[in-house]
Amino acid sequence: MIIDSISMKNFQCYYGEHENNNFKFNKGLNLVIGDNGGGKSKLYDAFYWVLYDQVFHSDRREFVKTKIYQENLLSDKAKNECSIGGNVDVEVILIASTAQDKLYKISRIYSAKKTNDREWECATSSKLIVDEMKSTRWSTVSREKHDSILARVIPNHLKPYMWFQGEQVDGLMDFRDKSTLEKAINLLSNIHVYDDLISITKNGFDKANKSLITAQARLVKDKDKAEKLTASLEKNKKDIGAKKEAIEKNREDYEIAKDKIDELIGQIEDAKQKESLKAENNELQLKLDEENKQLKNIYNSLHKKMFSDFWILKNSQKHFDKFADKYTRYISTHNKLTAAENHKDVLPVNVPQPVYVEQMLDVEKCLVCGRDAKNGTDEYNHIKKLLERGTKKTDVSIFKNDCSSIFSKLYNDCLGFKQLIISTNERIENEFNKIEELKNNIIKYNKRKKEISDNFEDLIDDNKSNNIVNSFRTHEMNRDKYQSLVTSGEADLIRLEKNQSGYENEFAKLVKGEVKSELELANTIFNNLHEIAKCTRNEVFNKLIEELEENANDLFGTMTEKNMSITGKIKLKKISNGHYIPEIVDKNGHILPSPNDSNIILVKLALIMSIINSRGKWSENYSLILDAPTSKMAEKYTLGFYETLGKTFKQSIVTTYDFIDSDLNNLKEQFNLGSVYIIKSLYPNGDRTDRTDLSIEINKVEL
Amino acid sequence: MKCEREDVLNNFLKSEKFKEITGFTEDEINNISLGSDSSDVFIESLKKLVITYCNEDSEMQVLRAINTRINT
Amino acid sequence: MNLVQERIYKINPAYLKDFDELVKVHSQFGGGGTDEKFSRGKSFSNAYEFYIYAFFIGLYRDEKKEILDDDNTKTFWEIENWKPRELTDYLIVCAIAESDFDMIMLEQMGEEDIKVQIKLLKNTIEGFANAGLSYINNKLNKEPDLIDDDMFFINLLSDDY
Repeated sequence: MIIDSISMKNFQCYYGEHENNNFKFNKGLNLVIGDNGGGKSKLYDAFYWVLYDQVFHSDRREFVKTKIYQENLLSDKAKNECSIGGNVDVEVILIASTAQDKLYKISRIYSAKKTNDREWECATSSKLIVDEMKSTRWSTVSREKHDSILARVIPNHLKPYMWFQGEQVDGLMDFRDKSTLEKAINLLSNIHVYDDLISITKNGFDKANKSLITAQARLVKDKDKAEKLTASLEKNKKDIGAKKEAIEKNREDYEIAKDKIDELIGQIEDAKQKESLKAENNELQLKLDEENKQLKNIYNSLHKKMFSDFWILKNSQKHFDKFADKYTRYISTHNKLTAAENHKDVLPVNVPQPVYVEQMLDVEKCLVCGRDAKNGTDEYNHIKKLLERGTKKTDVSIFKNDCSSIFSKLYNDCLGFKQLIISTNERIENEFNKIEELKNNIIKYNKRKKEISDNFEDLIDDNKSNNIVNSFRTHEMNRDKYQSLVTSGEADLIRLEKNQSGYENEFAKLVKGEVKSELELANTIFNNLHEIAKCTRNEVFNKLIEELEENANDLFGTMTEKNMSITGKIKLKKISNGHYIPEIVDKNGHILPSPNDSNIILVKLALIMSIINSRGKWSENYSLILDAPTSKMAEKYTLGFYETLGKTFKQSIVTTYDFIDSDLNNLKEQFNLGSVYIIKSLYPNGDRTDRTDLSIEINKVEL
Repeated sequence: MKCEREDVLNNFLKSEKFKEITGFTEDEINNISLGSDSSDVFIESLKKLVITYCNEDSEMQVLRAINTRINT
Repeated sequence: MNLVQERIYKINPAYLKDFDELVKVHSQFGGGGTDEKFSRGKSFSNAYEFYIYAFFIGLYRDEKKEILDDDNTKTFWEIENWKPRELTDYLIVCAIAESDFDMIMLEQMGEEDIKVQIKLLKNTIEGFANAGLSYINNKLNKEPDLIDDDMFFINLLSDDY
């Protein structure tokens, strides 16, 4: 829903009746501009309180329920004016409309009775009333429907990313926390569908596997041995799971160590040397990744090549030649028999071909011996008969089983392999040469990378404090350590998988008889479904990340296009399967050294907005409510941000200190402005320390 | 968030692992859809998984549906 | 398709039960992709692949191990299901070449005689394949470390014959 208006009665610093504390909002960017301490955060509190019955407790730095906040909710001025025994009522009324222009009024009321000068008897809880507009009158909605209507103002899972205060931005998008992006994506996309399917197929496989093993166990004579093997299988399976987790963790730590090194390298002052080494290092890394990938692919497919590349036919030529002799004898006999039956001659059916026979008839001459064959003569008729070969039904009845087409097909198809067979040795050798070459390249590149690493260390040594140099060395050691842990972990995993196969085979040997084929089929199918589910989930997640990165960079680009001092773009870096961390990088992909705070905040805001935007209709259907989002940003960074807000969200409501002395008429179109209000604290008696005199003056700016 | 079963099935079919495990060609994959009946028990099991899950059936019901398909 | 062709592709050759463990160890049953196959130490995607491989090893070594009626055997799939089809056809061609399969007389034979010819072909296929399996088995029994050698089967093929 879009927010039409909010009004308050005696809510914190908003002393007085609703008519005096009323904000009406439109589509586009709505601004509420005020000085620090001027009531902006309390307005945000009002939105929060009316929907969630909670207020931000500034001492505790957390949201607390009304029953805890109690009389602190009340306006100090109203409390002061209230006589002992009297009541002060606090109210906030929010009016919102749906996409179909249906209006809802949400009112929350709380009251307290003054029992003493400073003592209040507060209601145990606030009261919520929800009305909907029917024709021209408000009609009260029953309690059961309250939750669903409130959820339509802003759904719970969206709230953290669409209603927040400036100081919450860092927590929402913590670049050091690898789960930040995942949390957002899990909340705001349908990735949970794939997580559920992974879990379901895993359970299915576990059950099917258990059933299969149980059925096999029933067929086993040596029960003791079977039990021991089952236990070994279970333990080995757990070890495999643990090993996979450990490898993932080490991969993540490796990426993080690499990142830290990158950051430190970013601080080296000899820019030229640094850039050249960085560039070479990146190039080497790309080459290494490519060579490793190729090597893995070659190994994985070597056995397959025996069949797909027909290496297996390597020494088969002499056997085919033997078949060829046999076939020749066969086809010769076959054709002789065919010809003998039809025309008592030895020519095959299509020799000469009909087109030449017809030519001979046209020219009335035999083209083989040159004799005349005038129309009507025996010679002419003899040639004409050649056209009738193969048309008589009697051809078919010569053989009980005419195998000529099968054997000819076999012969012709296999003949085509000759060249392939000749070149097999060469092809196998090429494959092994490729493997050698890849291995050598990998060694060469790794060696050069180590040299570059040593160069970096020297450069850092030249111009940085001991702390930084030590830090650099530590991260390098960590990087090498985690890399080797990953390698050794993978080797262990291969060994464990082979053990698993071994145990399964031993178990199979003990099974005397056949289990039902459905059990084996179920085992296979669930295993495959589970594998595919895991892979699909990663692919879907990676795609979401790609889209997120692109959208975030579009937004960030728009926010910063007029500001030359901002560089960099957003990169979502993969550190392991399913974990990404956001980084700010330069155009070469290197981590930007020490971006300023405003830069960082803009990046975070761009990411948050991109996440919301990823499901298009959210920015259309719900209002973005921000309290002082630019509080940590220097002024020149804010213009781009507001412009982007105005363009991206159907409605946004922002409280801010910005523009307090500006003429916003110039920015009306650029920002797509809705309503603009300026709020000011009022102390009629002149004492700005007297909270019992405080009220808020609200002025709408006419644009 | 209710899931779109066509989208979910398509994401599974597009997956690299699917091609690797089943060995299907592009054409064969393109012919698979929720509406058409294939004679391949693995494909039908996959469809059952997607359909029953997106119908918001419980896990037990989903597994049962797949197992029933396998056993027939 | 004619009767002979149908009968050839319906051949379901067997291997001696003694080689069951060998086949199970090196062939991948129960699904899974290429990564898993390699990491689980499986060199062949399925039983027939291993069988085809064994056939050619036996063929190149010119060794046959005959299966007798009393032998305990295991079968798996008819030849028509083997892939790739071109390789299977080549196997059939080699079996025809190395047997007494009479291509010429076949065209005049009745059903019973065709059966005999098909059995000849089947025996040839089984003979070479089981000889190949036997050779592989003996080699692995003599040098158990070879089982960890990822290149064992490739190297075996690369031996000169």
